[in-house]
Amino acid sequence: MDVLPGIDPRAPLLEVSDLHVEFRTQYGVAKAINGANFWLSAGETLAILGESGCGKSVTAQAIMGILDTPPGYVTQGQIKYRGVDLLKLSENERRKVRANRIAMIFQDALSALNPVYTVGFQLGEVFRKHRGMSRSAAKQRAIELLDQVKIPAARTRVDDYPHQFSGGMRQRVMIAMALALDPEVLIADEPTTALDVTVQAQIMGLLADLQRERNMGLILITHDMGVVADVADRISVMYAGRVVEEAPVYDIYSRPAHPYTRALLESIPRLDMKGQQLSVIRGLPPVLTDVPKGCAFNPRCAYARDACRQDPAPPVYQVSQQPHRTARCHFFREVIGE
Amino acid sequence: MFRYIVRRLLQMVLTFFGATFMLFALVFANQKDPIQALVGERPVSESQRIALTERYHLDEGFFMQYWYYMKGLFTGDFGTSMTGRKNWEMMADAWPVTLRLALIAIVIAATFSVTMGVYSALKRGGVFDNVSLFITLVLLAMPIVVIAPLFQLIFGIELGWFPPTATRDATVWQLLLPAIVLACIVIAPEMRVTRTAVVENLRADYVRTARAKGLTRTRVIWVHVLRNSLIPVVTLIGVDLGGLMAGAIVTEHVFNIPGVGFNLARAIKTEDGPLVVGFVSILVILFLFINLLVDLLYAALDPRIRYE
Ligand SMILES: Nc1ncnc2c1ncn2[C@@H]1O[C@H](COP(=O)(O)OP(=O)(O)OP(=O)(O)O)[C@@H](O)[C@H]1O
Ligand code: SF4
Ligand SMILES: [Mg+2]
Repeated sequence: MDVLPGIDPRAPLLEVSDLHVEFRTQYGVAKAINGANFWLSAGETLAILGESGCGKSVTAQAIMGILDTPPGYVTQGQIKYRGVDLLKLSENERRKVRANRIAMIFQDALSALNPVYTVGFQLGEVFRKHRGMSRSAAKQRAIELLDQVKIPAARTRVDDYPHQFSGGMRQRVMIAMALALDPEVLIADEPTTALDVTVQAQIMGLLADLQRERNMGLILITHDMGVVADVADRISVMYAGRVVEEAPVYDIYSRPAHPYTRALLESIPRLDMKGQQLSVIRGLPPVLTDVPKGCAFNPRCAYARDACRQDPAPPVYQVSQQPHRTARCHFFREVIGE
Repeated sequence: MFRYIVRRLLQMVLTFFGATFMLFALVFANQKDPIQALVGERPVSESQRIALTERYHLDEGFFMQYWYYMKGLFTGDFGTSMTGRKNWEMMADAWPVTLRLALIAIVIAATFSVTMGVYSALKRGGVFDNVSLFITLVLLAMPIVVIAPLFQLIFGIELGWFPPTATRDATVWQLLLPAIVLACIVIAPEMRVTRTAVVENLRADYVRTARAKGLTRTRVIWVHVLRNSLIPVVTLIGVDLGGLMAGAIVTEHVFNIPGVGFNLARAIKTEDGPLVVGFVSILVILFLFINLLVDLLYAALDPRIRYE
C-alpha cells in the first residue's frame, strides 16, 4: 500500500471540521452542508441521524471524495484522516485513500452494484486495481471475502450476477467489497433501509461483528433512531446541513439537549405508548436554497424566541465536558433541564 | 439460452416465408409485360414468347410461381435472371463487395458514434457537445440521395482525397468514401443514443460505488459506464441495418459499385422479377440472421436478459 505523506498514527482517526458543501444548480445555490463537525475514533460507532435531505449522504460523499462535481463543491472546512487533510490531496492520492483507508456501503445494494458484471468480478477488481493481483488470485480472494460475510456456497456464487442474489445477500456482497482492503473507516449509508426487518437485524449484526474483529471506525448513517440505540456509541444529529447535537448514545436518549433531537425521540413509536397519538415533528425541513435566518430549526421549534430568528446561527455550545457533549441551541440548558 | 435460440430460429422461418411471399406478390403484381421489358424496344416473336413463358412459369398462377421458386431455392437453384444469367452467379459477383462496404460502414459508424457519444456525454453542455449536436441534426436532415453525390463531388472529385468510384474487386481504400456516406445515415442516431445512455449511466448508483472503490476515472467510464451504455446502442445498430441496406442502393448507384444495391436497382428498373426476388430473399435471410446475432450480443451484454 502506498504511504500517505504526513500521516500520524496517533492523530484522531477521522475528524471533520466546519465542512461546507454546496450544489450550484440552475435554480440557485443549494447549501447542503453548512458547517458540519464530528470526529470518529478507532473501534467506535458514530451514528449520523436526521430527516431526509438534511445532508447525511452528502457528508459521506464529501468524506469519500465522490461528490457529483459539478454541481457539488466542498467550499470550506477540513476532513482529516490521521492528521492528513484529505481535501488537500491530489485526485490520485485521494483515490488511493478510498477502499484502502476509508470505504463505504450504500443504501440500495441492487443499484449500487453494476448489473452487468459478476460479483466476483466486482470484488476482484478491488484487488486487481489496488494490489495488482492476477484475475485468478483476485477471484480466490473474492471467494474468501464472500465466505467471511457468510454467503453460502461462495465458490459457486462468485460467478453470479447481482440480480441473482436476495436483498440481504447483495448487501453482504457490498460489505465484502468495502472491507476487501481492510479499511480503518467504514461509512454505511442507510445499509438496511431497503431490507426486511429480520434481514436488517442480520446485516446490523454482521456489521457489528466485523467492526469488532477489525477495530474499525464505523459511521452509520440512518434516520431510524431504533437501530441506533443498539449499535452506536455516539450520535451526531444533523439538521439542514449542520450537526445540531452530538453526544454519547445513552445521554442523548435520556436527556436530549436540542429541541430537534427531543422531537425526533418523541416520534419513535414505543410499546408503552400504545394507543397514544404518535408525535410527529410539525412543519417541513427548510428548502436549502432558502434556509431560515438564525437557527434553521426556528420555524418548527417549540422553544423558539426572538434570539433564534437573528443571525448568526447558534454556535457549537459545549453541553458538558465529561462526557463530551455539544449542541447548537441557544437554550440547550432549558431543553436538557426538563 | 438454447431454447431461446431455437424459438428464435423457428420465428425466423416464419418471417422468412412471410417476407418472401409478400415480396413475390409485390413484384409480380407490378409486372405488366415482363417479356417485353426484358427484350426492350425490340418486337418479340410468338415462339420466343412461348419459350420464355414456359421457362419462367409465367402462365401459371401466382401461388404456383411462388412454389416453384421456393422449391428451387431449397434445392440450391436460385433461378435464372431474365437476362439469362444464373441468379447465383450474379449474386456471387455482387454480394462480396456489398458485404465489404456494409462492414466498413458499420465499423466506421460504431467507432465514431461511440467515441463521440461518450465524449459528448462527459463534456455535456460544452462546445464539442453543442457542435456535434448541430452536425448530427444536419446529417439527420440530409437524405442519402443528397449526401452521396455531394461527398463524391467534394471529397472524390474536387479535393481528390478519395477515389470517386469503385470496381467489383474494390479495395478498402476505394470503398472508404462510399462507406463514410453510408455510415452518415446511422451515425447521428447512434451517437445520440450513446450520449443519452452514458449521461444516464453516469448518474447511476453503481458509478458511485465504482468510484468509492478507488478506481480511476478512465476505468469507471470505459469499463463500468460504457458496458451498460452499449446495451441500447447495440440494439440500435441492429435496427439500423435495414437503413444501411436501403442506403446501399443509392450509394452503390452513385459510386458505381457493382454490388447488391446496384444490381437490385437495375433489376427493379428492368422488371427482372426473378433477380429481384433472388437478391431480396438472401437479403431477408441475412437480415434475420444479423438480428439474431444482435439479440445474442444484447444478451451477452446484459446478464439480466440472459438468465430469464
Ligand atoms: N447531485 C445533487 N445535485 C443537487 N442537489 C443535491 C445533489 N445531491 C444532494 N443534493 C441535495 O443535498 C441535500 C442533502 O441530500 P442528502 O442526500 O445528503 O440527504 P440525506 O440526509 O442523505 O437524505 P436521505 O435520508 O433522504 O438519504 C438534499 O436537499 C439534496 O437536494
Ligand atoms: S436555537 Fe432556538 S430555534 Fe433553534 S433549536 Fe434552540 S430554541 Fe429552537
Ligand atoms: Mg441519503
